[in-house]
Amino acid sequence: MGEGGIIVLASMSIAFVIFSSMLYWLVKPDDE
Amino acid sequence: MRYEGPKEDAALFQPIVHTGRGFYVLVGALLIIISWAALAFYRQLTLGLGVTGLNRPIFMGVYIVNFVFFIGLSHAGTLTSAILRIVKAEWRRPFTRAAEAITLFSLPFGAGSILLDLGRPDRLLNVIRYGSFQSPILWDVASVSLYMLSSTFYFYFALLPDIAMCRDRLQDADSFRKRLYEILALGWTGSEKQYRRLNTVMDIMAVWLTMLVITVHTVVSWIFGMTIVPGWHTAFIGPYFLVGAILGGIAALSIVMFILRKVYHLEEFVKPVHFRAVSLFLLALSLLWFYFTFTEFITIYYGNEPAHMAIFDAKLWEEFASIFWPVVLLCFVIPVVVLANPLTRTITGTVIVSVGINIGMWLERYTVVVPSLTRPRLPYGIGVYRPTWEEWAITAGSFAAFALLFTLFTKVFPVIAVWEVHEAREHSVHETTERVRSYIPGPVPTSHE
Repeated sequence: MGEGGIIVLASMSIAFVIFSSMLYWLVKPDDE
Repeated sequence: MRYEGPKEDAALFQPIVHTGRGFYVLVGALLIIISWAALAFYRQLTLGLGVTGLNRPIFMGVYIVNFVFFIGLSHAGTLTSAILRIVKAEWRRPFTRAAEAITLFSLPFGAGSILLDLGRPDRLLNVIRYGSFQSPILWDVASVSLYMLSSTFYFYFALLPDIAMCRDRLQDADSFRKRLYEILALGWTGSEKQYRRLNTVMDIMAVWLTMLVITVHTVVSWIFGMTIVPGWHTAFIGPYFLVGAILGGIAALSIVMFILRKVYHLEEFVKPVHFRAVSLFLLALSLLWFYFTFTEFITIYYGNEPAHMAIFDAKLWEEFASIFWPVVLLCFVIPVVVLANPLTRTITGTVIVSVGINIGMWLERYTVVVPSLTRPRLPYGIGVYRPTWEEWAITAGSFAAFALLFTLFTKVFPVIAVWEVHEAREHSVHETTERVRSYIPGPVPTSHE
């Protein structure tokens, strides 16, 4: 894989993990 | 299916509960246009790019114009929703959902236009496999993908409470719809704590997206700006693209809101005061767009380089003058004349101007992309480009598909963020009063005196 592809996929993966964590925090039940 | 919930929200769920004959007629018409585009694309795929008007030296045509236009359109969402959220502009509330939807539905057609422009779309993944980061195309892939991902999450975060309302308030829905709402709501309960978290998340995302919206369109412009092609190779092309994108995006938003207001009878939620705010925004952007255009041209004129002046003349006085001057008329003269006058700054006036701005912005993108390629530095002679019916069909299909996605969306989710309206009703009046008080020095009267 080209270095460009690695940078694109890495940035997308990092962003996805951050946004998913935000989503989890958003919907987690109040008592957790 | 019927709605069971507070009466004051009933109008917001009405488009989901009730579907008239007009919806099916519209969907049918859009599908016909999309089928026409699919036929054209099939021809292009099987016969090659030879069916288009693209040739040497004009290797970028309406597909690239569409790419820049749709990416620009997508900025409506971020601007209205994110920036207005940051500055706490209360009038944004009925517009945010539609604005975010415009972003989400226009981005695939922006990115997809690049695919259409490839002779071999099946080689798309080569960008990832062999992409070199010296190439501005790859910067574009990185920024647009990140923008698409961020916008999708931003849209979803803001949609969550309303999905939960659909789940709880829409009775006798079919099993597919029920299941869809249940899954997408992710167990949202609507507790005060969740709403507090939602506001925190939305604030973070708003700041992130504001930064992203500026960088994305600047990077889109670099596809042109990083080459040494006359008319493109200028540091100013980034802000120039951006201001046009924001102008077109806000104009598109006002058209969409006008249609939704009219068709779904949302007059109670989208009032003349909202359009007034948008119209002043458009007026300021139109003046800014003209100033930026003027700056572009005067810089080239003073530089007086022969290669650049050839493009300058082609746009202003020669074969592209018939496109360039209507752009000035549609994006500057008409908006300023109509919107600067309080008598014509009505809802109808704003929408007519917005339609003109969108036509003008598409043509403006055309005058950016095509003329520079007609007079290359290499000894090709003057190039001629005439888009073929295949290109027009695919362009029409892209717009129709965008409209179709939006139309279907209005039948599944509320087109105005219900929770935002609730928040405004319950908290905003008090909060805004307190905020204004905090701005003013000295003693503040507690009521009108």
